[in-house]
Amino acid sequence: MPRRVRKKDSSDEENGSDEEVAQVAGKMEDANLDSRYPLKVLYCGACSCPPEYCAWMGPKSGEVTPECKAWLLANAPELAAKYGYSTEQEGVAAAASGGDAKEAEPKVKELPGGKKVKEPAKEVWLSSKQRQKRKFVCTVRGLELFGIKLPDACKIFKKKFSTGAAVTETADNKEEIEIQGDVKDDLVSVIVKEFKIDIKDIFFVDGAGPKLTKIPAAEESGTMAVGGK
Amino acid sequence: MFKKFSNEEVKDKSKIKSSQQRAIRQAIQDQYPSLDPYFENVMPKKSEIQLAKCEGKINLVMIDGEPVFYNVRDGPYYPTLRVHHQYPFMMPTMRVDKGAIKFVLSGANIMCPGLTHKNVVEELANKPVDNNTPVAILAEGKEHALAIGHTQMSSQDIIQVNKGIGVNVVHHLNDGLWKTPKLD
Repeated sequence: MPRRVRKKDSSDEENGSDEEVAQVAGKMEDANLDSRYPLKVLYCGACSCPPEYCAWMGPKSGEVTPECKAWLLANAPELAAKYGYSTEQEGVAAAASGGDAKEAEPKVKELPGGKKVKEPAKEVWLSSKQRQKRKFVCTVRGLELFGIKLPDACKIFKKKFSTGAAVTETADNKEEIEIQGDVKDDLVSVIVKEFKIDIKDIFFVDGAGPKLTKIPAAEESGTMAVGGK
Repeated sequence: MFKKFSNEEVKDKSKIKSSQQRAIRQAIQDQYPSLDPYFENVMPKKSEIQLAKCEGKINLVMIDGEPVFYNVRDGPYYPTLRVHHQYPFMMPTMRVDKGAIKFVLSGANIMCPGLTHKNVVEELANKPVDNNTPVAILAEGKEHALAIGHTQMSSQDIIQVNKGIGVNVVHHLNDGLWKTPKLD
């Protein structure tokens, strides 16, 4: 008996689902029909979460990023209106952000792109990546900024850690050294000793793009770096 | 729990025996009786369940490569937020105040004061929840859940004690599991 009832339910649902869903998409709150499930939840194309949480996804909590606003305005104008993102505002925001972007982007681009700007900020970036379970590779970036030949540095690393190391090309056409094994912590002391680079210029880097985090090596493993090999 | 989670955390992904599939289906069905009428939609009988075993004894129940439910060891099954968004009535909900959203979204557990904030305490009082139950966390004024957790205290205790962790958050918006809608 119960099975039959269930079947009936689901068939009902199937019949009504298309229209219902269409309706539901419009007004999710007040429909109380069973067939509104599964709810079609709208996810922001910019930050992947329900639009009501967009404000907490950006770098600043409480502020909706222009991308989220633009996406919502384009894809769900009703909701956008509900959250008070008016087109005008958006226009202003877009203009502002566009202006910002245009002004800011070349600046930013100058930084990573043009070596001239970056060279004053001489930094060595270390990061380690897990490949398979307990296998790691460490990458060292920025050594060339200190006038060090990467193949030579590579050889030194090979000897010091007795593991494989290679100069590899990154996606942005730069070169970095890849070392097998998780040697991040020892790396600091080796770099300091072998290349006479100030520990202040060495950073542990995690993630990529906007989520990149930089931890000065001096803070992270001060004792290790001093007391290391 | 899924703060850092990605394809790499999956140790083993396999199709499982039909008897085990049945057991998992049954377990989830028993745990979420209100989902009964829609169960066919959530976990169609014809589709095959895959189980992904992950770091930390987490089992992900997947349908067509999409994580749907998960549990730890033999613990209760929790739905992923995407599933919960589709069927928000499936489990009890709790509401936190606006100020807490930021912390919850970075993976914090729900502290009692967030649940007893004057804007949301009414809901807590009206919808009693037992200790040790899977719950969905909603935020003040929002309609979709932002986290899934299980209670560390009953709602009565939360009101009375009003201190410490009220709900242990296992899965929240924008965590590793949220960012992996499909496992491959």
